Amino acid sequence: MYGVGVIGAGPGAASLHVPTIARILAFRVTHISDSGSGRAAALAKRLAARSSVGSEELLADPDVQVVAICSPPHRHAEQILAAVAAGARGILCEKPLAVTADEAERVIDACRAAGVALVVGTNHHADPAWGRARHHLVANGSTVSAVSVTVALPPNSRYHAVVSQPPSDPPGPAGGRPLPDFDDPQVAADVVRQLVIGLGVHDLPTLRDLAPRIDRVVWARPLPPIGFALGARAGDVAVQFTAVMTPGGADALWRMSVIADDGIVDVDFPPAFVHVGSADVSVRIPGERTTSYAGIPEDGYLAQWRTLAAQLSGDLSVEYDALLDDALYAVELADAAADAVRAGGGRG
Amino acid sequence: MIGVHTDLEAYAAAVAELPATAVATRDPSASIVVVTGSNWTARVRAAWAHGAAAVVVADPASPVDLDDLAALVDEASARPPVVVARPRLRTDAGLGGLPADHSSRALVAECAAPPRSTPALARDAIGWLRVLSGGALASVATDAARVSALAHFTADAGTPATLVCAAGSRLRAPFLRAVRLGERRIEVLVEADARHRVTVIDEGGAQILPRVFESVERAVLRRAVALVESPDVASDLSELLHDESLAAWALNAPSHQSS
Repeated sequence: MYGVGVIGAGPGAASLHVPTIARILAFRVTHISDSGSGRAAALAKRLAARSSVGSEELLADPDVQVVAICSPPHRHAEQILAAVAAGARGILCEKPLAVTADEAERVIDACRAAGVALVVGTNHHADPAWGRARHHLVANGSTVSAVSVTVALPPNSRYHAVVSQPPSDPPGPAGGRPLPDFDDPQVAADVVRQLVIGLGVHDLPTLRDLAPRIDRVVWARPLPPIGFALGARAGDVAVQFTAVMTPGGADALWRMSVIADDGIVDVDFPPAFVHVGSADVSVRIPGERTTSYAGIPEDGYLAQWRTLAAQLSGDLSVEYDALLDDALYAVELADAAADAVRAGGGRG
Repeated sequence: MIGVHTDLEAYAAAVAELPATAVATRDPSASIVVVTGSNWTARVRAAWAHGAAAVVVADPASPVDLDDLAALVDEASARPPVVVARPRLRTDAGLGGLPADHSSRALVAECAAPPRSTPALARDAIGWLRVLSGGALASVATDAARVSALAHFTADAGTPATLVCAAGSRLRAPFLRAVRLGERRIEVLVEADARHRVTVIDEGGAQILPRVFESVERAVLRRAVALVESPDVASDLSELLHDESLAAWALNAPSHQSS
């Protein structure tokens, strides 16, 4: 059994990785750290784990062999490098791996040199249903002509509540956080870049499977209060990606539709955080039939932890090059989207 | 009782399904005349010239000559009503009964069809974006390549409406889906036989609107009869011009940003 140190004690830890690790016997949470919020202590206490502030004490803990990085994206690269330097045997880093190309190259170089097991939490790519969908496309010799990703997300708290018992946050300032000034092209570009690399990244490794080289971003724009829309050209493949967050209402929609020359493959991913098995996959051959595949009990979150376990035991090699290419793909798309927002004057 | 002049079996059947309202006739004068074919705009004008009381355009071919269609829209304001039958754009599929919803965040359409059917399907997908947004769309950006096209429009209040459209060489029938994203989400799926599945999803769950069992031909004949008997003006031709214009722009521009 590997001791896991969890860096970060927000919902990504409390409602996602801690409950997920509890489902896998190969791992046990031994240490949780936060940046001073006090959440780590409360979370660690009921797990009989240690807690600390910052990552230094956690990385020095002899009971930590594996590090789960659940901090904000801009901290990921430095924390991976610190974990490698501290002698971690394995790392599961929440997506994205890094926010710049330079960071991505440095962390992959460091992990490769140290032989550290590494998994990035792109759970949609790890979802076994995606493997099934991809197999369908390959086995049928399908030529992909378009990919459409459509995302509409109500507040995550709806899903936190079914996998955890998160404490109530103190009420924020009246009126909530002010909206960014989307009329400022630079602000709008920064927001879109963050959303592409922080939210869109869920599906970018899967998109890279189908459209390995993005030629140009045709449009990109923020969707207030939180969301983005982009269209891109990747050779013959047209890419449409629209993601919005809603204040409530309908349950989450997270669908990747792959339009090929012989049919349409819909992959409907479950909401984030929950464990209800794999995505739903259906194949539509218009005028002929629609085939819905049975679900698979394993979900992408579990699959990525099992992958890490297999890497640690030597049963699976670490795909450093693929992880780097995934990270560079996300950075390049996010940069191109930001450029398109600036060129379009902000709101698009 | 009004006469219906048609050579199309589906419309003959629709007349038979309206025994108290319509009767088949060979005389276009004072009748509802059903036209179709690639030169349907000329046939509309011919029907008007023959004294038609109304004209039904059956599943109009696409693309069209946009200048000719624009001229027809202008002429129609002083002519008997024209109703356009669009089997993949059944706005009578229950959406009219939904309460107003101003929570729309974005609209998305996806469609695929055999290459020869792509223009008409893109037009109808744009029609769904227009219907779900509640008004006309403005073009923003597009990119068309060998087998696929992308387009970005904006609806009122700047809400984005985007389209991806693909030509599938091995497809035998079309596929069309349009989604309005918001607290109340609406998904319209148009299947190969033009059957519409409309699903409304909110916090209470998903509601599938009742299937429309009336044929599109019978529905448009009823509309045509109603328009003959009322002062209402049909907007079908101007809506068709809107959708055709944007589809032509989306499918034919290699890569374009509207200024």
